[in-house]
Amino acid sequence: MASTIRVRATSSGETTEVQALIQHPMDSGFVKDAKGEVIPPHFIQELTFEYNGKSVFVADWGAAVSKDPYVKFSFKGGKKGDDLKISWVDNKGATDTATAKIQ
Amino acid sequence: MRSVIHFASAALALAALAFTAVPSAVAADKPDPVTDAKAFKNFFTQKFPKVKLEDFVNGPYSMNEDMHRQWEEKEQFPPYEFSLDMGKEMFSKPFKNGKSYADCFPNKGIGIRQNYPYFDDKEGKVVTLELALNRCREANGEPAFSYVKDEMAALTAYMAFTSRGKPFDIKIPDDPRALEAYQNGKRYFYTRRGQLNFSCATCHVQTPGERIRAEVLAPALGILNAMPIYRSEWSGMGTISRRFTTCNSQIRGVPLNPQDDEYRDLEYYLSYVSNGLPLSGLGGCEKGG
Amino acid sequence: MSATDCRFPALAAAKKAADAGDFDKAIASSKEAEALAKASIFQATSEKEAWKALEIR
Repeated sequence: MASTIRVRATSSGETTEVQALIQHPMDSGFVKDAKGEVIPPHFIQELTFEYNGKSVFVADWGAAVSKDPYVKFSFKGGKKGDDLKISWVDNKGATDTATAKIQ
Repeated sequence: MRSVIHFASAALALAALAFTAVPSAVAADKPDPVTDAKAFKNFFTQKFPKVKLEDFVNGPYSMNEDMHRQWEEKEQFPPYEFSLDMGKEMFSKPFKNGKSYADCFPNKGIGIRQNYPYFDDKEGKVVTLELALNRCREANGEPAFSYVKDEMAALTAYMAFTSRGKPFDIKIPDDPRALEAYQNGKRYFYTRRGQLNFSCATCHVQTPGERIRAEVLAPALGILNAMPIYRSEWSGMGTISRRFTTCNSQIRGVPLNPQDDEYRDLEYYLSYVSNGLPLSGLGGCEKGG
Repeated sequence: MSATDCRFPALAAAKKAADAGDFDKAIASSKEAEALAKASIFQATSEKEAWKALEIR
């Protein structure tokens, strides 16, 4: 199955800019379906970006983040050709990881 | 205070006079799509002289600098990617009987979106891409998709994507029925409806670039070129049918059923007057326009 | 609830009140439904020619 994480990381010498699009329903648990039943909460709780074994971005998410979240941030350092590791865990215990090369 | 009221009532009287004077000039003309389309394009290019003709297809993003910047950024990682991938998968997967969508469409369904809708002279009606897709499914023993849900959106998204950059090329044959369908669509577009008494033109001809609540309105020129469209409001991709029906609900009118004759004719009219403008083959926007 | 009920809630309210035996409410609701129907007929007929004034020519 295809990864749920799409990422692009570009280094401009001093800093690396990272963009990621993650496929996830991010159900808040407050929405009802057509039958009037609550759609149970199903959302990413922790999202981590690691470079050289160190976390450069950690997000603790809750129900307020919308479907298919998009993240963009920059961190100091990061060399072209190096790996950036992305992983998430959701409230049901499901996870996914991806690795991208910094361009 | 009183002078303001006098002024206002004088203005209203003048407006009423102006309005009553105009219709007589129109009368029962034979529909002239070629002249209409030219006038349509002129209206918008004159209203927005700094916008290039082909940029009208980007709707609100060509109307507002800040939105344009945000949109360009988002295009690097467009939210419609997932729908597009799903659409590609769906399009390539054969039906249970072994046939596939490629068998129903010219050029195997690739790069043809700019020809839809077309007037079917056997049926005597306008056929849209969404309608053609469901007919293809039913002809091959598959259940039809809802016109307003994700599957139809993904499918039309993929097909539109294969036509990205191609100009709309809608044909109106010299057939009174086709001209009537065109005219119907035009009439629908300009007619006010619903509790808010808005026509499509009220927002998309009279006030593009301005705001409705917090959203910037798109111009009617090129408005279907980016369909199907990802709307944050929908957290996903939506079809032309979905937008037509929800637009009607938003002006507190009773929406028609998707693919009802009037919606098909409306799509025919709107697509034709945007002939020559490129399909941006997938768009994304927040809420409005 | 039929599709008609969704499109004409005033009428649906009238039916419901009549079924429950509350005829005063039923009459009031149906009068409301009639007024709404008349308003939409008026809107449709007045807009029949009025659209041409908005048309780009």
